Amino acid sequence: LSHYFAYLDPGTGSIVIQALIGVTAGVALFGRKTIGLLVTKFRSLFSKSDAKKK
Amino acid sequence: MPRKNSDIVLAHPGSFRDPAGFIYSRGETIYRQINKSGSKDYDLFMSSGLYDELVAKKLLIPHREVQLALSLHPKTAHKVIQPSTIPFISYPYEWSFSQLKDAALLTLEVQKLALASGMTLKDASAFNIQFIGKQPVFIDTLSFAAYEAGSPWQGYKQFCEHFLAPLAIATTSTPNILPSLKTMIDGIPLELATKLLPAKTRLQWGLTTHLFLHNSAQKRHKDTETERLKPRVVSMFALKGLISSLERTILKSHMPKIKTEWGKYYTNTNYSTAAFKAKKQLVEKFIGKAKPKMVWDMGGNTGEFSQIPAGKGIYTVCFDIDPLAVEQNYLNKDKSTVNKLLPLVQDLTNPSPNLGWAHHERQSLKRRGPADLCLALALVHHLAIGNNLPLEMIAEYFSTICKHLIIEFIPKEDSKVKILLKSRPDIFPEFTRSGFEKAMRQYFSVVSSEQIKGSKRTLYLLKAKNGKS
Repeated sequence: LSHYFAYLDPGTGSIVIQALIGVTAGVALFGRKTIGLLVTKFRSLFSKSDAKKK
Repeated sequence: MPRKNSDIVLAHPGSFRDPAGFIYSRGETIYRQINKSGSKDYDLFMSSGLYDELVAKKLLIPHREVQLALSLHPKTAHKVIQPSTIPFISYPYEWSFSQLKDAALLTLEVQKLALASGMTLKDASAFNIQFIGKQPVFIDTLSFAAYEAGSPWQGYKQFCEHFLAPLAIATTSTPNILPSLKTMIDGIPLELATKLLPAKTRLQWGLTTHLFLHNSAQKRHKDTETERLKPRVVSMFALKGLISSLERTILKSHMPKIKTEWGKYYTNTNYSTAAFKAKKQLVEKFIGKAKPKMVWDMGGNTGEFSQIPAGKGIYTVCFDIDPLAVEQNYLNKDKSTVNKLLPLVQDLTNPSPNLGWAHHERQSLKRRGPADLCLALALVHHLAIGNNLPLEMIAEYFSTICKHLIIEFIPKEDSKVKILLKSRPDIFPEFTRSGFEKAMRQYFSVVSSEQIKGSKRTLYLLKAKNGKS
């Protein structure tokens, strides 16, 4: 890191932990997005079949 | 030859932390000097399109570059910018719950957009946010630095201490805790926050990771030198996950349900609709006479009367001690006044003092004045009877914070005053209309006074004698 960039003391523990929390949260976010996409896809399939019935 | 006001050049006493630049003023105009050491980041910020995007989305205060000759320290200067004026500077310890929450969400939104443009926020101070009316805006143009792949977010701990910890504590207890940030202007330390939060908050993923786990890591590595640490790579995937998780945690925080004396003040008024309307008309008439550019509504509750000047385009700051009233005022995003009305929490019997290094970093309420006009409606009896303040002291204080004053006197026969005297002996023989006028005339001259139709109350328009007007 360049000297002026790090004018704030970020805290050593803070640096150590954010990689761990970040990856876990990133996986959870990816999971939520994937589930959201699947649900939307699933719903759209059903709404199409409903429309055909009508 | 007398000095012109524009000759007075002052470095802002609160702008000393970041070597990339600083704020200063020439007369009434605020400038920011970009130092040579901050030139790379500033130039990238301007050329990357991030500045334009943030300004277009009204997330950042716009600025214009001015001539270098206006710099304060020419040897170190790279550029000088003049940011748009913020009508009234407020501080996080004066914000309501939702103001702090919106400031937190704005910080995260800015960080997301910065990352998308190859930059990052190098800090996450709540003091980087100001409000223009009820619109939060990011003000620190020098907070942006080039993002280096794999680097952690430098502002993560600061974000947790300035925003997440106070909001979490307020959610689980009371919003009355937020003004206590006056004693912790660098946020609530993680260790203290984890001690103040109830055990059940450990079951909440966001709080348990960003506060409890974060605090444990801080404690474990208290004596570890960052330079000796094995290089930690925080991937973009992890960084985005971190920001998203903070955002979800902030969104889950909520104003706790509380009942206060003032939250439903205007549904419990003791005078008729006609008298209330007459009071509004009289206030409007007196404002027309005073012609202010800046109004402070002292004890303005949910902003009912602040709407009058704000509706006329006059910038109005509405102060009240009650966090629920200020919250209601803030959440009322009436389009005609949203950019002109700023609600803030303020205890007039203990107003915001000068704070920080050498008592200069954060200004007292008084130093941010004087206002052109103060409204003190249905307030004097609370100060005089509720807080034992002699009327002369009330008059003197008001004469130091405003040039004109619209003040309402409510006599002892009024039921609102009777309530205050119900539980205590009447030791206020001076609290009469003539005693009030005598006290006020020591510091003000009376421009107008009229009885409010349908009530025993009198409204005065006063002009301060101290020559500031």
